[in-house]
Amino acid sequence: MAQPIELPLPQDYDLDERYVLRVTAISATTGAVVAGVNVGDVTFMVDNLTGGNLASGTFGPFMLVPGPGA
Amino acid sequence: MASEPVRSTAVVAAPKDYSIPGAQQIRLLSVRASFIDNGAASDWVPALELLDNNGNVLATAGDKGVTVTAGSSADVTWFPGVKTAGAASTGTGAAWFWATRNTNFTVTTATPQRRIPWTHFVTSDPTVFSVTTGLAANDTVNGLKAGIYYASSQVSWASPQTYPHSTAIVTDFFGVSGLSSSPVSDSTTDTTPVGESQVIHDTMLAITQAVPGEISLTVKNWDASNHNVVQALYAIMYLPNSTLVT
Repeated sequence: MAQPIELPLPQDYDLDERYVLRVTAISATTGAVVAGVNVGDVTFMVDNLTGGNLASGTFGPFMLVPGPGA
Repeated sequence: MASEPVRSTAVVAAPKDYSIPGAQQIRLLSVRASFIDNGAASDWVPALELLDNNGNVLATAGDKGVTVTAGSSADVTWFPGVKTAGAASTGTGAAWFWATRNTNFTVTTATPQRRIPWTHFVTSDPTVFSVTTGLAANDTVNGLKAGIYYASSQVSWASPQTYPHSTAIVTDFFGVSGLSSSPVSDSTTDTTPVGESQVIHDTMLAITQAVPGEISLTVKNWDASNHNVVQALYAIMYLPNSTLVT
């Protein structure tokens, strides 16, 4: 059975189009991604500030493409 | 404005990203994610990163005190207001282990020294202690983290105790027994001078030189006939310390 863990979330972040939410497993000492960890079921509870279709967002992993003005 | 879930069940190697669609804006309320071990190279910290549209990391929500042991899986929830108790949730603080057996355990002459197979065991932190199977189910106690282990045991053999028998805590760690082995833990008498049935004990102070390692309770039947252990009690205290003895 998986170990349950609770962590704090930054509050009052309004995130715009093309921003990325990344669920990852990192080293406590280097911050680098640790190989050999899979991420399965992910659920974000959000306030939909624009009322559009959030399901059209893409789930990765994928290479980030810099947006306008990069 | 309505709150709604955005969900993906696909299993991918970390990291798993969600890109907010064009012309949309959200306020993040909570996140839940299932992490599944697939041969992790080392212990790891679950983290949620927020990146802008240029790939710049705006925030990392994680706690280096909340570490998942390599080989373990975790279901992680992020929500505002959580006060991390890193020591309690990941075993980086003090921890305890408790085990009992109150049913007869026969120690035969064929295998006169045996680990006690526990019928009941609990721990405050399964990332510090585990119980595995050797010759019998649940007979091997393991310390999984670097630090100091202090173990204490109590064993009763079947009466009349007119046969030689003993008990000893054994460990892979660097350990020192706190009690003399005779006459307290090695007896051929039935009762003490005041007529009470004799209970034997051992203690062990162990310091880790490598982890994981075993710290189990054994008994030995020195007689030419089979005899039963009728009760065994075992408690271990763990204090964390990352320095391994050399």
